[in-house]
Amino acid sequence: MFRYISRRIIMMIPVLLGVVFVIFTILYFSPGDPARTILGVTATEQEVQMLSEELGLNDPYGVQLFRYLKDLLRGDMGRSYKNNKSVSAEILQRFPTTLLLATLSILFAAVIAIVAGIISAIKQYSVFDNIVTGFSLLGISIPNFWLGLMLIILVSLHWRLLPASGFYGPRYWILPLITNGVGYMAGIMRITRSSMLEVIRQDYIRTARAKGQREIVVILKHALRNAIIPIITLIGLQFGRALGGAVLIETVFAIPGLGKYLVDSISAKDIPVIQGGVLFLAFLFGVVNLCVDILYGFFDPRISSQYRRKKEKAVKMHAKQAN
Amino acid sequence: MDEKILEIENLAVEYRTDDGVVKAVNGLDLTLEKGGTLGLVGETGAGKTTTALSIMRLLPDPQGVITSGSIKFAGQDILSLSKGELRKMRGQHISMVFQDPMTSLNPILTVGDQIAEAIRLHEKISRAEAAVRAQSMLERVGIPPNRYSEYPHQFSGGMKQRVVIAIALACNPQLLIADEPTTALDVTIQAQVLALMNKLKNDFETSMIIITHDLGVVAEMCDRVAILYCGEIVEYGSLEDIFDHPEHPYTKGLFSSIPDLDTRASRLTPIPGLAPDPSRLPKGCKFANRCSMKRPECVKTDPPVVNLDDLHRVKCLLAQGKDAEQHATLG
Repeated sequence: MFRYISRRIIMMIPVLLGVVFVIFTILYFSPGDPARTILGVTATEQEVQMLSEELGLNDPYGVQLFRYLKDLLRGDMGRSYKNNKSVSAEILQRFPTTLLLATLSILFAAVIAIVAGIISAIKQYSVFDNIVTGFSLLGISIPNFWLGLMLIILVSLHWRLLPASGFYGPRYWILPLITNGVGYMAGIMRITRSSMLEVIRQDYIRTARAKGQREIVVILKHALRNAIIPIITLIGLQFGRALGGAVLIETVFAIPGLGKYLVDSISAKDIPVIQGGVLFLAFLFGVVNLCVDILYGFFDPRISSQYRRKKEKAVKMHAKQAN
Repeated sequence: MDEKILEIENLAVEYRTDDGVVKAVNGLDLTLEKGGTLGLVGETGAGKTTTALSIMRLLPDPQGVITSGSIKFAGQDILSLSKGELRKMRGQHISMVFQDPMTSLNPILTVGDQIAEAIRLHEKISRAEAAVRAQSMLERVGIPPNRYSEYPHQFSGGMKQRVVIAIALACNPQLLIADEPTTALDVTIQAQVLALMNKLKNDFETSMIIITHDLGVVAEMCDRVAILYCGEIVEYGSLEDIFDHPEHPYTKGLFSSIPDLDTRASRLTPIPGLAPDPSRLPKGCKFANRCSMKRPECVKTDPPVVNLDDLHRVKCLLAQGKDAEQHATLG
């Protein structure tokens, strides 16, 4: 397993290099002059030329790419064209907020959705099942910015229960968390229900019952562990996306997160921020996927034993050679 | 031999689906003596598995419903047991080996854990003791105990079936129901599994119900045979009764549709047609539309069960009068 993990981490390096290459190239060849953008329309041609020279924008493509990679190795993602602040510092400053919101939303969504999905699968076509199915349809269809606005109007303005904006403490977390979580919840519910429905019809569930096992153990030990692979796959994808920042929700609730920072940088054509941000997201996605893959191995021995078998083979080969 | 371990009376089971009510078992009577082995024979859809699942009370919920009848296990009415009592019964007193060993084991638990789980459910012993017991069960079914912590996907089909049998016998049940235990296995492995089951049956003194459509398996294993058709027992008797003196046209048809080593037939004689749709069963004899000896009255009335002797009974109009004849000749 350790070999597997370390190999997966090493495999992330070419992926990230590829991302750097693609995003750098696209932005390099995109129309517009960064120096002109920084200085604005009132600057003279000479001033623009001088700034271009200073930023190294006149160097050939290869030189610029190499310089960017070299800086990147030192953890330097350059400085924002807009306010000259360090991109990596800005990202790291905003990331905890985004991480907190993402983790809370996913946890909130997953716990409720998995429990509801299981019950709904066991009691298929019951009233509860219909409510869950209806809710997940609604949850997927409702745009989350609308839900956010409605919650603000109702809970903050009308009932005056919770603050409408900011992200300073648990009381501030609740509304963004619900707004963000409902969509995730709907998806997890659907996949839990369908995955469980498939598994509880399997023969080995009947075998477990025939042993005289209690129903709750049959469901949690025998069924859920078999049904969990698609569920963690979806949660992983959602979590990766959530780490990229929820732009709409950050806008609605005025949360200083990553998403808004990145989107603003795109509209301002702030190239170092775009590059740094996209690279950071790619890195996060890679980490989340790695965690999901490790979890697969943990839940399904058929996956982890592939690596064990390879290892055994290698050991045998080694022994042969030694002889 | 006289003590009855299982008595089924007038059992009727329905599956209530969106497409209608499927009558899977219709008025089935069956008894099994302690230590006996009963073969339930019939084609696909005859209600063999449904009967077995009814005994285990494992019919698919909520579709499968027992509409009438009684099932008594060692004198106790299974149909009136509470959920807790049922759990105690399953695995401990009555065990079942399911049809397809490939899918009967949980793919994410080690085979040892799956055997130990069955033991620990019914006996108050520690995890370690259960593991030791499970290892000895593995050994009994011919699997090296050091494969305890391997997963089902590391086993072949025949070995998986052995594991399933080990799970079923782990708590020394009084009754073992084997639902087509050899159908999914290839022929050489079939023989091994059957021999194993016979041996274990003797070791553990277990009564057994074997569900099969393989008459060879019946001949090898059973001392009583019940032929099922459309959820009814059309003929019941000792192994000799059924194999040497089959009375029901369906039983005769079954025997003439298997190859015989002595007479080299170029073609086998199949039973023509298909079994009737169980959601629309005919009024009279359910086999009438395929029967080569059909009479006009067969489609009108449901044939009565005729007792040919103490054991041998047939549900056929043609057999009517034979009991009288026999009694006459005997008398």
